[in-house]
Amino acid sequence: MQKLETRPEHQMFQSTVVEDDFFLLRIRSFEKKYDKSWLEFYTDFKSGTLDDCTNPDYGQWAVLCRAYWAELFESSGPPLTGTIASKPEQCSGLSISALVMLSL
Amino acid sequence: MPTARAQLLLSPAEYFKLADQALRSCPYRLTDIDGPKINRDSSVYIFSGKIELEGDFRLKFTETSFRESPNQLVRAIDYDFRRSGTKNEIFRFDNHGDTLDLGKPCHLHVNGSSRIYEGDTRLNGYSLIDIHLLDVVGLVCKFIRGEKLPWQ
Repeated sequence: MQKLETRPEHQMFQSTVVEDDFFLLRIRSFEKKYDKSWLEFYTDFKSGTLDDCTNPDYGQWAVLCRAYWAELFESSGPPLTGTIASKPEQCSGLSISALVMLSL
Repeated sequence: MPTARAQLLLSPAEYFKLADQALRSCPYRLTDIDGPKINRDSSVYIFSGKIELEGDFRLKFTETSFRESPNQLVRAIDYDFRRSGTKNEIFRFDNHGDTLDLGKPCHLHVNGSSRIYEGDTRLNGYSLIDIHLLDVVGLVCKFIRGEKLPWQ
């Protein structure tokens, strides 16, 4: 904590430009902290089934998921990847449902 | 067309500049502010901090913002003002349980109460739409000066 002896004339804070990876790493750190994938979390968040909805981490995590969900899908693969190949019609429908749900 | 309030939230550089000025106007003793981290196209940022104020009060805040399109923004906010070391907040604005789209209200907790929503008569007309750090700092200063808050 920075002690301020007198009221400074300089800025109280400075903003920093970061790469998008910074936010993706934040998402990954939440996944680790709560032992839950981003998709699992986001689904629970949107359906209101999280154990403690007052946790401020969840709001941040949800906004970052919305901001980077294309990158998240790209990096972790869509859900049901393993079954899409064997049951294309059935699973492509499920996959679309997941996408629709995430976009809400 | 976004309101002036919404327009400010859509313009992070201007918002941070005004937030800095507002925070400097606070009767603070100590600060621990993690300056905003913003991506290259200014569409995503996180901003958090803690400020200890005269009278043994403290303000803790976290904002996360994502501009989805030129006029659309989604946020998560948590502004918690309380006497240091106490269980109940003096007030807290947050949106837990959902993200907050531009033009939508957050909710308010006062002294450990359940959520107070936009339009509640206890707010005396105070709007919870697009609440931001400048609003919160204004309320904090008001409280420290011994003035009544809108819902008191």
